[in-house]
Amino acid sequence: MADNPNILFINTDQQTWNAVSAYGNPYVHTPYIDQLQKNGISFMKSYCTDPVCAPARASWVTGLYTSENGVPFNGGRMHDDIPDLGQILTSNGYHAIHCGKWHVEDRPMRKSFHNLYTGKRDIGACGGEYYDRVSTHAVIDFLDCYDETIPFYLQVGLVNPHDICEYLHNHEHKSIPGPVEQGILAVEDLPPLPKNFKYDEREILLQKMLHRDEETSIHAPILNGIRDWTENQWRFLSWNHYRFVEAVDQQIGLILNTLQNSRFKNNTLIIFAADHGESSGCHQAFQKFSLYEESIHVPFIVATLNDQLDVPKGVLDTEHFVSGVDLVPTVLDYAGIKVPGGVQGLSLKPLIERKSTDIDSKTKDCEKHEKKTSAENTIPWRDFVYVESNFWGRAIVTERFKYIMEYRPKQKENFFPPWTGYRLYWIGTALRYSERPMGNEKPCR
Amino acid sequence: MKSLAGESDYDDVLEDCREKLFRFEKKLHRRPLREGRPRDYIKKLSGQLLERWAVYDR
Repeated sequence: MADNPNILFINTDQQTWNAVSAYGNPYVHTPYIDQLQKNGISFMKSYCTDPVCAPARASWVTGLYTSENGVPFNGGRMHDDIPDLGQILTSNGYHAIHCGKWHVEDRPMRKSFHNLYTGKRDIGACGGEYYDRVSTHAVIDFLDCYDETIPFYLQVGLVNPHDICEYLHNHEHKSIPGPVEQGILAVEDLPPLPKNFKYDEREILLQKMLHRDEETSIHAPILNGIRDWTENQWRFLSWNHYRFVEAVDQQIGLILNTLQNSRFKNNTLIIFAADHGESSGCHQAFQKFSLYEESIHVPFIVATLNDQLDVPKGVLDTEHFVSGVDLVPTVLDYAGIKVPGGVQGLSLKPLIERKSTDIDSKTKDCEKHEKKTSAENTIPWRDFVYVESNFWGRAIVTERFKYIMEYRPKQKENFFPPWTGYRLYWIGTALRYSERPMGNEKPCR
Repeated sequence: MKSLAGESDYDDVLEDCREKLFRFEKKLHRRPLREGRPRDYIKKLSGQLLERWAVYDR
């Protein structure tokens, strides 16, 4: 067990997949996430299991979809008999540690993990500006002081860029002049409107309702406040989101610098991901909840700061669909622990090691490399990814299409998802990737 | 991004995707929500949404 790697899982909250400068986004500067990209493999087709905090995080710690683990929305209650990642790791000789945002209600984090933050209540959904600094300090202290011989799994839940929600809450029921109108920023400082700012009128019904109808929006007061926004105000929303991303990137930098100078540098695997994305004006929507790309498509990087673990450097994997349920099997695979039956995800370790072998072979012998990349080297993998959106619909994302199926009422009494025991009524919609939002489709390295 | 719903050229795609989704969901071990807050929440929000379906679903 002592030879197994330490695993550091750094996660951010509400970061869209392309809010990373290494992927070609010129409107955000993330030197430390870029450092992870340069030192690892980025899975460019990574999706959350559900574009809301608690469900996405419940999948991270169970390897199950949200309709299986009992947490399909914030406030859902995980079934008691489902083991979580902390429990599995602890019972198999790892020191499982948590720091920062948890947000899986009714699953006592302190019973599953050792908690680095000493407050009595878990860190919740806001306050990234100060909680992230506290978490970072705690992680730095841990890396400086940990002197046990057993390996650790440390998950660090950073809150930002979730503070973009607080920015929006500031607009509830009132009109705040934009920074351009106030003379604080010049128009050219703002990111452009997303290409898909104007939504398709044939978009699925519930998305239309939830984002533009105050009677049904979860955040109706925000909707009221931003209904008459100018284009510059929408652009400023995106500008703000990127500043919160940069704020959390600085915290990641402090953690990476400490790891780099610690005795754990050579035996620590780093996983970086976000729980879900942020709409930032795409389809004139804000926050998450929807099944649009900006809401469900997230960054996912596996990296090391050393050459001892078998992880390729600077690779962009644009081939394989990755899901939030893959975290549990991947962590357990690296930890040398058998994955419990029933877990839905797949371990990324074979993909990562194959990429590494491919690159190594290519460097040494081009002819051999060509042979190795033939069909015999193919690892069986999913050809689409499945995403649930609270209780109003779900989707599959394939290579060319996104298919969304809503839960739709036939009669009042059966407007419920099937797993609540009520009858399902559905509508199908396919969305084609004819137009990507801002960002390079094939990001530069 | 363009919605293809209702475009007859894509009927086969819709059918294929629908089949994929249903086949996948059969493998899930879905469980009823726990009693209490989760069920109360879902009923409340469902009610709000239902009231608006009549407005939009034409």
